[in-house]
Amino acid sequence: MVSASELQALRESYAAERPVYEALAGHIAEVAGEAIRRAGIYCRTESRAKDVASLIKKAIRKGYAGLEEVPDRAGARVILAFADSVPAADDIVGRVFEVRWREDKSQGLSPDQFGYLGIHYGVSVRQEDRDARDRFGDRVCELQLHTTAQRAWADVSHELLYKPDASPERDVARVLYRLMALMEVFDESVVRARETLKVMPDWKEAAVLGGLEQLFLVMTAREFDRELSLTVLRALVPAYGDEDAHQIESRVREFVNLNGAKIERIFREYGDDLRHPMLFQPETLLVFERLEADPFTLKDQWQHVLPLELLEGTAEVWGVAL
Amino acid sequence: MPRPDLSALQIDSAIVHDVPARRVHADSGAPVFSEIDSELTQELRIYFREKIGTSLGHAAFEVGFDPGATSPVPRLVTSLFDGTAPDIVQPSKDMARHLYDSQTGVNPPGLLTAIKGSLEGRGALAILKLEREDGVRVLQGERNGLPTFDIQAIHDLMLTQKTKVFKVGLFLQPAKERDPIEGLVSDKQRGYVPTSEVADFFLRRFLGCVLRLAPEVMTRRLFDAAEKFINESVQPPEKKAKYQLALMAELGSQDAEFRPRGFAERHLDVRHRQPFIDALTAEQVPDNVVRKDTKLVESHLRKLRMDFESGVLVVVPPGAVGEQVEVEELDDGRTHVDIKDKLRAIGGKR
Repeated sequence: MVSASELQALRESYAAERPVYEALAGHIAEVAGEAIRRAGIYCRTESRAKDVASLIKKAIRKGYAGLEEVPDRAGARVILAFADSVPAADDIVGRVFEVRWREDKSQGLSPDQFGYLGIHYGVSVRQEDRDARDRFGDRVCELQLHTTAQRAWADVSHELLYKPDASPERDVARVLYRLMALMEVFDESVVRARETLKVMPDWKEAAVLGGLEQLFLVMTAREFDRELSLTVLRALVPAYGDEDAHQIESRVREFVNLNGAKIERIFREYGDDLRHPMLFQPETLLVFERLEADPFTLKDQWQHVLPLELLEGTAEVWGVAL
Repeated sequence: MPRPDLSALQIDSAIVHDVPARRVHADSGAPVFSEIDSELTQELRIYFREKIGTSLGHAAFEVGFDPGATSPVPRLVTSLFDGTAPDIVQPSKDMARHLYDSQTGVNPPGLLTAIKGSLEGRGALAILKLEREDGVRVLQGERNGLPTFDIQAIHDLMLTQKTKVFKVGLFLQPAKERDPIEGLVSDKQRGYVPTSEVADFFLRRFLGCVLRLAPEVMTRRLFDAAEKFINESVQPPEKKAKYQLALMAELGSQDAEFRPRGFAERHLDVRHRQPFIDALTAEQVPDNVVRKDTKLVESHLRKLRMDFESGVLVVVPPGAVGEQVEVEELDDGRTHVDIKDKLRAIGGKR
């Protein structure tokens, strides 16, 4: 049993260190999220440092006497849209962090069992990342990797099943297991639906637009003409060959990261300029990217759909001669 | 010189001087000078930037000042960069006077425009020789009490939307004190041979510049890079032959300049265009324009040569491909060359 003085010491030492754990959790979430998104995998991230009160309660419950015994001082989550992205994301986590431990929750389940399917890790920043290492040392952050459905189940199950010394009534247990099965079916169905939508007309352009819209709104917060965007994207998306919507978005996102200052300057300088009607549309980010990477294919695709003068105007703004 | 991002050119001031045509035996007047820079709105700054960027993007050569030049422009540009000249007025007037004095009867009148600014943290000076353009405009009005549009002739337009390439030199302040001033110069494509007085007036006589890279060296570099691309990256063989013939034809033509991007668009399949430009860029060949001098590649332009694995060698005049000579790829990857012609002679190889 932990003593009152040990709890006091624990409270004081963790209160002093908590800002570092909060920063660590944020850093881990940011690094994981960026690395996974750069691979063309859409994801959200969350992070938190355990609050002091929760840590003390856990210490009382588990009998922890020292801070080093408390495992999840910092926690981060990566939430994926699609279950078939998990293997690639798992691989990325292994590359961008030092993985101290890894627990695939699905491995503990027999084929006739349902349960939580996420992957949990204990990670610290890599030795090569000198700045982060100087800041965080070898402190460990718990990182959870799961899908949206698994995330929902993780939140709910914490409330429903948190009675370690008692099992639910048979009827209630059956309901809970059906929910877990439904979660797996949900994830599989989402992947199957995505594969079906991929071959439908307009879907790829709409998916690309969804990604561009996010980037565009962050930079300009402007309204745009969605129908015009889809018309232009129908011409431009073939310029990317066989790349799917996620790959295209990932490529444009990387381009925007590298050229963000220039793009923001252009949007700022041309804010009231009526000579370039196509400039304030999300697909302009894609046009800029193609003007640098392959203006020939861009020009060839463009002139099937729109007057070349409109593309020349955008090229002039970007500083490229077509 | 790494190509600067011309879309980032920041314009601080601009001044315009009117330089009439110089008639040796007539009283044609003298330049009309401005004594203060022109007022610029943000819209005008952006407009000038776009026009300069487009012209240089299409047709700029890398240049440096010629140490042996008699033009005062190098000295005047230097004075603006080193702070000797407090502003743009006097140096630009001197440039306008020099332009007038060095013109002959064949040079048209123009507006000498000097634009001072900065680019990527370095001082920048653009010198433009623009010509007045004609146009018409319409204004809503009335005639005989009825609504109509008045059509008015305008004779003093400058740098209209349709003008893509014009005479402009952009000079950048050196990043390090002892480095030479670097520049980019574009001029309207004339198709004359490079030694023509008219073609070189703006670059050499007025600006006092020389091309940084000797045309014969750059032409050789272009030819080697293009040929390497065709051999290593293009299939099937008849496509190789087509591209090679196009390259030889354009290099052997009377045009004073070779434009890689234009060549790619006219002669290459879409999928080959960007890789072709990338291949040239990797060998430091500009993608917009190369001043041609085929001195070092003349012998390579007369005949098309095909070397085969077995040691067979076929040498073909470019005009014979598609006529007496057909090239096609076989299903097994070999190439079939079909020659139908009267045999003139046969003998041991000398």
